[in-house]
Parts: sequence; structure tokens; C-alpha cells
Amino acid sequence: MFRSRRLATTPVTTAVLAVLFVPVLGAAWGTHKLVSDQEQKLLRQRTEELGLYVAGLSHTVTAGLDQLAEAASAGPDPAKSFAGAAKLSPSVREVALIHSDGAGAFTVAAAVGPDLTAGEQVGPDLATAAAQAQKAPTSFAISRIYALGAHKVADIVSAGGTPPGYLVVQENPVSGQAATSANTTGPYSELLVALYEGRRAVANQLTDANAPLAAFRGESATDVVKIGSTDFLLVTAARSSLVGSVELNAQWVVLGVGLLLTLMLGVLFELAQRRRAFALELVDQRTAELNRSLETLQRTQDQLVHSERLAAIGELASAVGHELRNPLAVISNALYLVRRATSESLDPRVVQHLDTADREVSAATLIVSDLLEYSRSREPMMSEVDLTDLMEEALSVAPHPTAISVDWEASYEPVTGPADRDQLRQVFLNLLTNAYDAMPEGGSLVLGVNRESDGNVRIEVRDTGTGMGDETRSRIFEPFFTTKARGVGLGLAVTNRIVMAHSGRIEVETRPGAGTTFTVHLPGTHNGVAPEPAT
Amino acid sequence: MSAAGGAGPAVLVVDDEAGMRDTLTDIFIDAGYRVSSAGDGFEALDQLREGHFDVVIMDVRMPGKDGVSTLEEMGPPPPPVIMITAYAVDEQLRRAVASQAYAVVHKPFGVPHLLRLVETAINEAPGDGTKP
Repeated sequence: MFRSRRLATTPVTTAVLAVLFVPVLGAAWGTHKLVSDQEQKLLRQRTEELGLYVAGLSHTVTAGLDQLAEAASAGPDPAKSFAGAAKLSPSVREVALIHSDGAGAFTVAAAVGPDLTAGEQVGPDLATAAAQAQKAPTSFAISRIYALGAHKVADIVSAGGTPPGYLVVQENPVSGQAATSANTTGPYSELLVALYEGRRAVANQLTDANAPLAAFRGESATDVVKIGSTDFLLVTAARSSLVGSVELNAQWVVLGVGLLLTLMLGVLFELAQRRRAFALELVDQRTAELNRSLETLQRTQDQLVHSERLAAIGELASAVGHELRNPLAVISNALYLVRRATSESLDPRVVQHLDTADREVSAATLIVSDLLEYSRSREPMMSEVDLTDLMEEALSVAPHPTAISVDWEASYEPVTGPADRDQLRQVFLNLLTNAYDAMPEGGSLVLGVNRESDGNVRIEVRDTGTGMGDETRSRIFEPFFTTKARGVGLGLAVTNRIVMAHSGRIEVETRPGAGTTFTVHLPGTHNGVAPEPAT
Repeated sequence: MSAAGGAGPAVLVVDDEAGMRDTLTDIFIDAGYRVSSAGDGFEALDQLREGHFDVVIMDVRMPGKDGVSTLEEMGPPPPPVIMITAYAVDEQLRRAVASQAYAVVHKPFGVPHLLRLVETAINEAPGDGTKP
């Protein structure tokens, strides 16, 4: 049977999965890189746009201041002209016109907004910045932003646009630090922005930021923005993905789809592998069955050849056996004639030799008959046989040695039964010669042929010979088993077979040293009908 | 073949084997029979036509005409025929039994048994056989 399916994949499938997994990872990484580059590019673009936007805003403010400066120059009283123009520009806050005393101090000439008041002395920080602005060697209006301490910057406009000794100043408060929370509305709200004065992101130069600095993670971009004559560093990071959430997740989509495809391919490959393994296993199984059939066929053929060989040997044995019976019969006849011719001489040695010759002819006859019976067993040919007469005939064919006495325990009535005369004579001859052989020193042989009360026939051959042990007793009916110095060991095997073919049975009662009794039970004739021979 | 022996019942011995033929002839002469012998079936039929026999002892297998064919061709009423054979049971023997052979004796046989059989056959036969 096939082994049960298992969950584990085959090594080949594992290898295929591994090989497919690498390009999938590569594709996912490539997608990630592509998206990341795009993000970076977008961030840079937006940062540049923001820079331009900031510069634009600054320019608008500066342009407003320039207009105020020009307005201040237009009238005879700069302060009055400035104040008049400032009122017309509601968007302008915390703007003042300051005047230099020529010794480094400045006084507010006019002001809009709550922080500066006309007539008051300008603070030292603004005064220093204003002094620096005055020294700028420009012939045109210039706006420049100056830091006024930590939280304020000044946008100062001077030169050609203002009357001599006058400067337009706008003070703008700055946080100087990052916002505590992100501003998420308005233009560029998708960006986290920090503005540093100068070209480097130094903590104490931070001018403003729209989110806590800790929120600046991931990709960042920088841009230098010139506001007035001052460089500012714009540092940005994306608040959320600029390329969009779909693109951002593209790598995971690629990875997922890739893994799914890999898994499907793996499953298909595994299925193909298993189908192939199943087919191979089936082929192996069929091949094994075929081999078994071939072996069986070979064995059968061998047996057939063996049987044919045995049959040929049987044919030969049969032919030889039959041919031997003729000369044996002639010898037997000749011995009879010699015995008759010399009976009057009464030479005991001659009589003894004749007896020996008779016994040997009987022995040879029996061997031939056993061999014939064994090699070509046949169905018994039943006829009604006088069994007492048949026993006497057997006794005449195999006469008993002189040292053995023979007694009969037979009924006076003739005992007949259905039998194959030739086969049953063979049985009697075998039992008689066995008994003779069991009594080499002589003894007593009792022959019994009787009908039992149930109509069956009981034939007994009882000797007072050597008897048999259990081991010998259990094997006496095996072909070619013999304890005798001569003989081929077929006698009792043939005897048993013939008795069984007559639907009879044979019993043995024996003990070492206490002789042996063979009892043959044969079915009698019931209502004149002979029983069917056993096959 | 020539007849020999005394004035007892006539026995015809038919066998192709000279040894068997001769020993049987001597055995029956010794037992007081008048014995003729034949080497095959044709010769046996010739002798049966020419003379009277009280019993025939005939081999089953013989060259030329075998014993069973000879038995079948014997004119009625045939004398009792005792078939002798070296073969256990074969088709010829079955035919012999069917052809009313008096008895079948297997080679080698006990001579006393054969003599008893012959005596019984002659005694049981219709007509007046003379006992040796």
C-alpha cells in the first residue's frame, strides 16, 4: 500500500520555494527603493517650492517696507509721511521709522504697533543692527534681517529708499524654538519644517519650526533660502508619505503577491512531485507484482519440468519394473521345478539354498512392485476378492523363513470384500515381509482376516519382532524412509496409499522389543455395492 | 508346439517368452497334466481349432496377436482361460476381464496358487474334466 500523505514538502519543492523567494524579496526591495527615491525627490521638490514660497513672502514684506521708505522720503517730514503711508497699509504691523543721531544711537521717529513708540530710544540690539545696516555699501534699497536677541528679528530697510539718517524697521517676533505641536493646516502643512539662521542646522540658530524636532524622522531635505541679505536653512521632513499610501505599501503588495505566487507555484510543484512519486510508486508496485508473477511462472515451469522429469523417471521405472517381472516369474518357476526335482534328495543345504533363492526372488518382486505402484499410482480396480485366499496367495509368493512360525486367526467362513486384488496383494506382501524382517532370529507370526460386526473387514499381521520406537513409528509411512539395510523404503508408503485408496485405514501398535501389529480396516460390501474408491 | 505329458486334463500354455513357456510346461507335466504350448496368439488359435483343451494359460502381452485379442477370437464355447501378466492394470487387462477370462494372475506368481487355480477352473468348467 501507498504510504500516507504527509505535510512536509519534498526537498526539491523546498529548493524551488527558496529559489523563487529570492527574486520576490528583490522585487519588494526594489519597489521599496523606487518608492523611497520618489519620496525623496518629492520632498526635495516641495522643499524647494517652500523655499521659493518663503522667499516670496519675505520679498512681499520687504517690498512693503520699501514702499514705506519711499513714502517717508517723499514728504518734507519723513515721520509724518511714513505714518500716513503706514496707516494706508493695514497689513503692516510693528513698523517704525527710526532716526540716527550720528553717534550710534537711534530714536523712533514714527511707529505703527504696540512695541515701539515714537520719540523713545531704540534698544541696544536694534541699535546695533541699525548701525550695521547703515554701513551697508549699497546704493539701492536693501532689506536685511537682523536678529534681535532670542525672540525677535528686525527687518531693516535703508539706503536709497529712506531720507538720510532714517531707517525703516519692522520687528518680527520669532519663537527661536520648535513648536510644541505640529501645525497641520495651511500651505505645506504636509511638511515638517524647521528654519535655521545661517547655512547649518545648529540648535541655537533655530528660528522657527512647525513641529517638535523629535517628529522629524525618516527622509529629510534641506534648502537655503535668502531672505533679504540673510541665508536661512530650511530643513523639511514629510509629515506623512508624499507619494501616497498606496505607493508606500507597494513593496508590501509586491512582497505579498510574490509570496502568494511563490506559494502557489510551490503547491503546484509539490503536487506534480507527489503525482510523479505516486506514479513511480505505482510503477514499482506493478513491477513488483509482475516480478512476483514471473517468479511464480518460473516456479510453475520448474515444477512442470520437475514433474515431467519425474514422470519420465516413472515411465522408465515402470518399463523396467514390468520387464523385470517376467524374468523373476521364470526364475520363480525354475526354482519350483528344481525344488520338485531335488525333493527326494533331502539335502538340507540344497533346501536352504532354494529357500534363500525363493525369498530373494520375493524380495526383488516386492521392490519392483512397490516401485511400480509408487511411480504410477492408479485408481484401484475393484472386484469382490476373497481376502483369506489373497493372504494365502501372498504367503505362497513370499514364503516365511523356517525360523518363523505362522498361525492363523481367521474365520471359517470365507471373508470377501471389494478390493483391487493386485494392489491388496501388494499390501499383504509388504506387511508379511516387514514382519519377517522384524524377526531376524525367528519368532511367531499371527495372521488374521476377519469380518467385524459392522460388516467391515479387519486384517491383522502380528509379529513378535523387535518393535519400533516412537521416532521410527512416526515416520514409517514416509516414502524412502527405511531402517533396513536393504530396500528403498517405499513398502509402507505404498501400503498406506493403497489402503487409503480403498477407503480404509491402517493402524500400528508397537513397542521396542514387544513386536508390532499392523491392522488394516477395509470397508466390506454393503448391500452388494462396493464403495467408491477414495481419490 | 508339441504336446507332452501324461493323460490328465489338457493344458495350453501360450507365452512368447521361451523361459516362461518351458517352466510352465514342466510344472504342469509334473502336476500330471497333458501340456501343449504356443509362442503367440495365432499359434494358440490354430491349436485350439485342432484339439480340445481343458484350460488355457495365456500371457496378455505378446507380439503379433496379444492374449486379449486371442481370447476374443476363441470360438464358443471357449475353455477357461487364465491370463497371466507382468503388468498391474492396463487397458488390455480391462478388456481381458470384460472378455470373461477365468482369472488374472500377476507375474511372478506362486506356483501352488496357479496349480490350485487351474484345478478349480477345470472342476468348475462344464463338461467332464479329468482330475490329474
